[in-house]
Amino acid sequence: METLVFFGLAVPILVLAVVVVTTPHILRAVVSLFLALVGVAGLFFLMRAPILGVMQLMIYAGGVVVLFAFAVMLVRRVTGEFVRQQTGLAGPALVVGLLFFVVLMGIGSGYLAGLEDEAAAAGSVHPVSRDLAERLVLTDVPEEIDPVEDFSPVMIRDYVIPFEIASILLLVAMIGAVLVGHPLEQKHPGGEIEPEEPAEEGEGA
Amino acid sequence: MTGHPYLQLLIMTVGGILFVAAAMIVSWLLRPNRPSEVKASTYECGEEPVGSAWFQFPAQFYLIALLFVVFEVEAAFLIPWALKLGDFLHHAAAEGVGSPWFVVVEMAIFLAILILGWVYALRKGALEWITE
Amino acid sequence: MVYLIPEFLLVLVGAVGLVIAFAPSRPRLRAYSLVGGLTCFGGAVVAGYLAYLATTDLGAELAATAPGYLTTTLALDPFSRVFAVLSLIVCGLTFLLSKEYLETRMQDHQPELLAVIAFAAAGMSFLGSARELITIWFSIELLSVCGYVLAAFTKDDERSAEAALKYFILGTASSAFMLFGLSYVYGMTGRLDLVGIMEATAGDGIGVLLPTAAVLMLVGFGFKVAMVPFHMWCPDVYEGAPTPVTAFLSVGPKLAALAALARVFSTAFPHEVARVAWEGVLFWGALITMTLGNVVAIKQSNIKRMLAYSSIAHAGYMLVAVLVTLRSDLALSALAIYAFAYVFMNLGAFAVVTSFSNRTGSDALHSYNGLARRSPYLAWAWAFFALTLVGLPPTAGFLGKAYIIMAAWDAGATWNSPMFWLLVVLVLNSAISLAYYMGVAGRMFFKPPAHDDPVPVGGGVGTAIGLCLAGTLLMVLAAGPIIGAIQNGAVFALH
Repeated sequence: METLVFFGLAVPILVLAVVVVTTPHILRAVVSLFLALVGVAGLFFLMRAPILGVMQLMIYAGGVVVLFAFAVMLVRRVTGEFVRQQTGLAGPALVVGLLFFVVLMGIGSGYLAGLEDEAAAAGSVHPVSRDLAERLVLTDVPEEIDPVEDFSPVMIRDYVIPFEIASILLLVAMIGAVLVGHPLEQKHPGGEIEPEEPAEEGEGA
Repeated sequence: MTGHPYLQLLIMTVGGILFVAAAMIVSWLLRPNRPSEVKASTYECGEEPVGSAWFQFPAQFYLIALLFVVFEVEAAFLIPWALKLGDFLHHAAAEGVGSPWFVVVEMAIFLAILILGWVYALRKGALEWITE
Repeated sequence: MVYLIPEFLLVLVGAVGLVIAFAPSRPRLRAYSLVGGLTCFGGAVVAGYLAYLATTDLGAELAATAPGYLTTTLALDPFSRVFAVLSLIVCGLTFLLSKEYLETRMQDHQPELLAVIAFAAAGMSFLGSARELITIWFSIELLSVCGYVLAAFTKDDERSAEAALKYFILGTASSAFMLFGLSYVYGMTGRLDLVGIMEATAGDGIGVLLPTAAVLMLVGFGFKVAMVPFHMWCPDVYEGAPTPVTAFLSVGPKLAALAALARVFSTAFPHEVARVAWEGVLFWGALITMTLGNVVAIKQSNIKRMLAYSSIAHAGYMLVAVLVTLRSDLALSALAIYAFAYVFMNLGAFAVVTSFSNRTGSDALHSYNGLARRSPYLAWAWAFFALTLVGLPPTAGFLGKAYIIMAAWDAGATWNSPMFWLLVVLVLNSAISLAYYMGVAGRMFFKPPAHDDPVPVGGGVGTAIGLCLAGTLLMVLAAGPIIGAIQNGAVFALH
């Protein structure tokens, strides 16, 4: 059942991800990305990590995609034509991506084969390898687990330092957002937007 | 209901999709098909739509959305903390922290640093809407 | 808690800067850059004491009774505090050398720039101490995000905007690779702390997936270090960013990433399979990085681009020290000493460039012609920093290179071994670097200036140059204590 749900989520995610990078229509890409991210949230729920699932929905599907949509609207030409996603580099990108995939798969399958040989030779499986093997086939998820009980104390008790670093990180991100994005701070409009503003006026008149 | 804790959710989701699909199929079967120019136009509260919906958004939308995402991440950190706060306050020793104040001070520092950022954004006028 | 005083001070300095930025009646920038800089130097003394403390019995006792949240995430060893000293010094020097630039060349946002530099220095310090993957990830991201913001500070300048965008896109891509590697490591071992990862991969069960993870992580670190082939962003960003920011970026992220690199790879991946992979990559990485950096630097006509390539070359030298961390006890001391020397000489050189461009607005090499007549202080300072950067005795640069060579020798660089030839390349590279560092000095002393207007040196940047000069000379004295602290702390074994 879980395997079924996994593939029911994984296949659409992959298809949508391919759509994101191949479609020339950029809003379609944004919507596909949104759906793919929702699918990833589903995977988190499947792995019994609901906090991560909720965060994925909230931050990525809810926030970041909206940001993308605004970014698309921001850089759009005002002349009425759609922004076409440039897919000119698709060929080289495909080659690089395939190479990466082949290397990873080759390594992964070689590793698993090595594991089997080893288990056969030694008669017992090393904990590390068992761990990976079980993770790969999604069987090692404990049934009785309260994710909140599991997650929060670790974050609150042991990982205080990264937690506070995260707040500084967010603070700097905010400073950056205000500095870079604030129109009032922009004494001379940036190079990207400037040439288009006269065009807008021209269209209005 | 036994089984996977999200089985209900799955059933709800599938049921919801089926329901919408069924409603659309049934209405497609029942309705007469008479397309016209007016029906295909954009609905805008009875007003004639002017221009294209595709215009360049002001950068302000982007800035607000960006600050919103920061706020969301902040909330994402608050939720797990809030869920366990009671346990930590009442059974500090059992949870492995010396004092119940630990968790409070920890979040106070976290929030203080972020509030600094919000005051900064506020003072710089990043949250004000500028109309041209 | 005492261990965190350096980081606390840096965050405090940054927070104060931010408050100054939005305070209704704006206190003077001068006061902030001076007080902030002095606070950093004071903090450096405290951090130095902590490094010393970590070698004593009292320090060991404190480390043993430290609260769980400290021992889980940070390594309470002398090496980490030595890097805290370094972070504070970098922050303090950058504060001083930025002062005139901020006053004369930027209209707005000056306190924010200093505040973000302080936050970045805090990230640097955390990265040098982090002992588990989450803290490493958060610190490196803090450092990166600060870098993106800093590079984008003068966004009205088109080149700066382009540099910031380039830095951001390439930086996030490399972060993604690194995160991918981290998730592999966690997926395979189920452990986040470096020592735990080492324990979990101790047996024969480790396959070829671990080297992949290690190499993916190396991509992330390599980007921050500007290791070839992940150096492409470096010249553009260094040229486009405001000069004080360039000065900071050329030392801060680089040194912190090198420290973390040494800690992560020697602690987490000391076992055969992964070790062969990362040592192999680092060997060729170091070799190509130092050679390419030096050779390309010769052809540059912009001094900031030249220093960018020179900083790539220096990263190559330091990668040699990282490479031998598992083979030689001296490697970490060598890395720390070179790092200190590099901070003083590189920030010093950038201080000269900042001071010059504050008055002339030019970074072109030919505008340095005849500087000796226009400003003897700057010309002589440059000549001295050039000697140090080349690594001629008796300067700090020589000391750093000598220790790296000693560490590599200690690691078994016998006649005709690969390590031996790496050292030969290192020495040859130092000779090559003589050409361009001294080329600039030659322009200053022997070419006629376009005109004779004097180039006055501002108080803040002048002090920074003076401190860097003092630092490069006094390193000879400081080297002993640094080595003592790091050697006595039995560094990484102390979890």
